[in-house]
Amino acid sequence: MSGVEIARLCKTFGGDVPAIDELSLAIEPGEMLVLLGPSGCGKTTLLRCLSGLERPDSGEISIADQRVFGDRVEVPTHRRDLGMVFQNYALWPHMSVVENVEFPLRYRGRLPREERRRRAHEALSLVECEHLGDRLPSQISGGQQQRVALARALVGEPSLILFDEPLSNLDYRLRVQLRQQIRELHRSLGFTGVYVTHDQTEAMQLGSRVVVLERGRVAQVGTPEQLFRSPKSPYVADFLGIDNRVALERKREGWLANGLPAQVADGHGLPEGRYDLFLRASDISIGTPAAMAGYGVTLAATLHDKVFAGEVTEWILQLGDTRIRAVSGHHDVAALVGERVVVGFELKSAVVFRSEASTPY
Amino acid sequence: MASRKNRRGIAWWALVLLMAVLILWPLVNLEAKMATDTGAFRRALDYPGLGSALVNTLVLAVGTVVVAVPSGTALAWVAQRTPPRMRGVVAFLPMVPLMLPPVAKVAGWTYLLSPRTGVINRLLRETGLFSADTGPIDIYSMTWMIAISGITLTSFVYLFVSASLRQRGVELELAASAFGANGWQTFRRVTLPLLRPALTYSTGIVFLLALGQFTTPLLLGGPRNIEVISTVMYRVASAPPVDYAMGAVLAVPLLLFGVLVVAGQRWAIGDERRFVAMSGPGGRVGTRSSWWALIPVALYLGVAVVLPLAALIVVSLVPYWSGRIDVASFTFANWDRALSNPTTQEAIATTGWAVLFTVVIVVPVGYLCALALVGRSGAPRLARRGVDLLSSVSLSMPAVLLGFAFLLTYTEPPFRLYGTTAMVVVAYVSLMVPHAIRPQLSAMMTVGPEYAEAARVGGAGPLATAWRVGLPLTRTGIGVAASLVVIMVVHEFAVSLMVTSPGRRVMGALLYDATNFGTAPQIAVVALLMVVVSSIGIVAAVLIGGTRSLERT
Repeated sequence: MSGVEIARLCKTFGGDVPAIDELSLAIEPGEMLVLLGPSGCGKTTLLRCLSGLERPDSGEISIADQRVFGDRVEVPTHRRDLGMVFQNYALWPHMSVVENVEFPLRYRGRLPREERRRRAHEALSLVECEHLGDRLPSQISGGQQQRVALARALVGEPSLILFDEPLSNLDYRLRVQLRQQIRELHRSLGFTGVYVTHDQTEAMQLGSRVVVLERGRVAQVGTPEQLFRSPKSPYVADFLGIDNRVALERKREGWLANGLPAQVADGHGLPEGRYDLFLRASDISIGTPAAMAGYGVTLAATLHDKVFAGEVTEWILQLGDTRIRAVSGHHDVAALVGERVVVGFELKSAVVFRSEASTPY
Repeated sequence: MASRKNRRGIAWWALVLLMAVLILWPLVNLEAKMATDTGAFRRALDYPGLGSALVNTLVLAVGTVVVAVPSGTALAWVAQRTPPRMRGVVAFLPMVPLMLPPVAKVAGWTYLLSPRTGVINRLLRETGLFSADTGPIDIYSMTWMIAISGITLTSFVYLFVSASLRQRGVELELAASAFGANGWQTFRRVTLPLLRPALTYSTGIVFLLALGQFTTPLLLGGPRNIEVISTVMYRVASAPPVDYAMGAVLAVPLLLFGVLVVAGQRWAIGDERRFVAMSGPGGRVGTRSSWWALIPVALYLGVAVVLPLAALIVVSLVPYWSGRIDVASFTFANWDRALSNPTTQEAIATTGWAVLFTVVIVVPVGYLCALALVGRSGAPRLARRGVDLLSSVSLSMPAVLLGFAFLLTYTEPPFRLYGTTAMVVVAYVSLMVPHAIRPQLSAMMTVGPEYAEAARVGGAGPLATAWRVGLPLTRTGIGVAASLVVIMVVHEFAVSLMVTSPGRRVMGALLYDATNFGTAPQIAVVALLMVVVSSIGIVAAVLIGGTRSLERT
């Protein structure tokens, strides 16, 4: 079946820092695998190696059980049976929309012209752009262009579709719409896809599995739930948006959070030592001492700012020398900016690492 | 598949080799003559008037820079301040002189400013302020040679400086005035420093062009025996048996200077970027504009185009030229005679064929070179550098020097092309390669790699990608390259004179024959024919490349 196997892939661009470092990965047929990471983590390089637009230094790649790179084999891009959606659409400006979409069909078997047209229109109707066929790319909007680019990637029913940050040039509302559309197309068509993004929301919503990349290596791979629930390292936690970091220390005489005393009702048996806590903003509550009494961990903080963000309100809290963020659908905490509040959370909802080791406790 | 990669590498190296044969080989071949003939150095030193020719070359070059750089800069600055509605047209106007063949312009100027029969001189004398019966202006003097070549090269400076101004827009100047700087302070502290790269570059180019220039000193320096290196080389080349070894010695200063400029450019600007057209969005934020700004532009256009062209037209219509314009005597007899003359017909045909063949060969070669330079084509790094270096060698060597080297190389075995159109074409192709590269390269640079990548992913092989995506998207650049080559080939004078035999003239050479043996109206007719042929070429190129080719030339 059409999966992808990547084994011990290496790629270095000049200098000593590898863009991809001994990376191995298997992509299941019909899976949408999201490559997530900050710029420079190697996700785009990996995608380009898959497409053949970049030549790896070593390693092996197979697509749909066919070796495309490695072992003295290098299948050129145009024979890899791929589809690709580019960040800046890359619709050919001198061809009409339908000509753009039928382009891949020219090189896939000998289809009669009418058949090519018919399939191109079919693909366009999948992305609700069938009425745009005769226009030039410059005559349609950015969102439409990216839909057409999507149709172009789908039309040949390739073994693998590559998405290179396809939504990052669109505005917020379009991004949400198109993300949902890609999700539904993937569900109904069942293509195998590799999707590169630096947006963790996109990764969570689209990925069958998500791979977090760190300096050319796999930092963690798993379903979105697995990743969000138990990130394996501070790097992954941080990148998934679990970005409230609290330095917790257990001493014989008590607990310190960011150097300030904290009340811990349920210590979960943590031995003495220093820990890094990563807390999801939605797992942090604030209120009066009485209201917070039931939480496993409570500590005092100053309310630095209160940001009304529509559906939720964000509370920025000063905790010693760092700030943390709490998010809640409740907008009515009776505290003014600058006042002392009590912060409460459960230790079991936090991701806990030993400070020195950065390994999960 | 290492073998596949190597095969592609070999193709790129073949391109480098082709360029080396075209550009480098004739130069090496020429300079090698020097090594085998030890007496050449002595003969060159003894060449009569060599010292003054060297001095003249330098004076003419420096003078030209002093005229062209300030006036080109001023024009660019002023053109940016014309009313927005006009700006599109105005921006283009100062480049119109580049479309007139320099030979035609110089010929036109002599009818205006020659001491005895020049129209302007006659008008000045009629004011009664000047007593002599010639002058007061002597176009055959160094001063006026500097003026004429300065006016001609002003367009080049304008080209570079206005591109730099356009790209940057006026926001930075507005910012300076927002922070309280007055007009002069803004110019002094913001505009000028930011223009420095463009000014340095255009000063270098203009100096190089002025140093190697040929048309103006040949046509205007002749009567007073004002020789420069390039005219000396031409005299050597046209006195059989040609003393190539001595010519090789004379070429050394030009050669060294060209190498110096290439090295300087490389040092000042990175290696590929200088090919990129300096254009950007720009011009969105308005600056104060004024109709007055149109005056300098109109003035320049009048002096550099309208006057000489008008002079040519008038002279081509009179039975004989005395400096008096008598509309009643106008006749087309000169035109009839010229057009029915087999020599003229042949020269037009030869020029036409030479232009056609040159374009057909050099534009694809330029396309491949641009592809190699653009860096994402997979051309080996060294091959890329080779293409880059060779094209700038061709750019920095004066046409006279190249013409001399071509003459030597292609009359000798194994080529023996003297007297054929093929020789003219080979010479033109070698000369035009860099001009064919530049516009195509900048078109490729603006297009970006994703379009080709999308085609590859879509299943198109390298050739299909080039055909369906690469070519259509660089069409404008191809059109620009074609029109540029047409203009430059028709205008080409130095190489044309040297590589054509008396039996196979191109129009430029025909015009020079006319200045030596013909009458003023005959010269004017040939000059205007050159204008017509180059205009036809430009129109044809625009039809191929789309209307945008012209404004990007």
